[in-house]
Amino acid sequence: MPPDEAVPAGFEDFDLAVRRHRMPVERLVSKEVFGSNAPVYGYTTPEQAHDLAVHLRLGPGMHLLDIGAGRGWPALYLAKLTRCDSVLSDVPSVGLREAMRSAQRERMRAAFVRASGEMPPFRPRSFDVIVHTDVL
Amino acid sequence: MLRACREILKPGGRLAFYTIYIPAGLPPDVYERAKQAGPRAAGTREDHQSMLKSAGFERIREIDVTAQYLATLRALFASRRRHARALRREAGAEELARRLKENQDSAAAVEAGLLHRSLFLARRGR
Repeated sequence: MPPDEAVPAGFEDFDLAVRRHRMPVERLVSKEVFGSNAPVYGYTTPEQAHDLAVHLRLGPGMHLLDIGAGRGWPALYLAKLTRCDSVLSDVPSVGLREAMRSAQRERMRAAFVRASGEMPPFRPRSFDVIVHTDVL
Repeated sequence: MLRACREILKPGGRLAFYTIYIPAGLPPDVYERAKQAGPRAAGTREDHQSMLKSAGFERIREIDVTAQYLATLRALFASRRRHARALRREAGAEELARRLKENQDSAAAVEAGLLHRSLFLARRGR
């Protein structure tokens, strides 16, 4: 993955959220509200992430793509919960790097691709499930 | 983006997304208020169901989660208020005030019906 670079145009909100979540008290706020210490960008609660798994009938071996994956929520949660194979894609590399570190800490296998949702660099008919949260 | 999603899904594959949106039909000044109060991506007025259909999806469902969105905004505001002293030390008084105002403005916009959040589910046809 290329080194961190200037904030891509249109991703200023995401960059701000990333910087905020580096502050300990903001992480505490996130934990109090979302019930998890995992950094969160957007408004998807753990219950709503769990609903995704149910609605999508996610299970072991299924291929999941999260577009606009940010720092890994909820893709890494879904992968851990359902043992699906997850690919996380986004434009800002700073979030994907943090997602990668989270996956390594949790000893999870996942793929990380720096890409825009408008032109995903994947072969046709690659995925069983695609999710995105607060991107569109 | 939805057309691109359809192409990379297997036949019968599922798409799900949470999205915050501004309802159609608002006067321009009210629309601007909603746009300022919501996240950047909430600027669209598009009808998501039509967008999904024209992108070739079927079995489209929408589940409204606006109430939970409002509850989350209120919880964020309450938590930041509880930790205001520490946040002020960490981020500064101006930044704390900005964050609290963001939460309040967003919550007010939701309460006024100017922002909604929904879960959309759809399938690529076989």
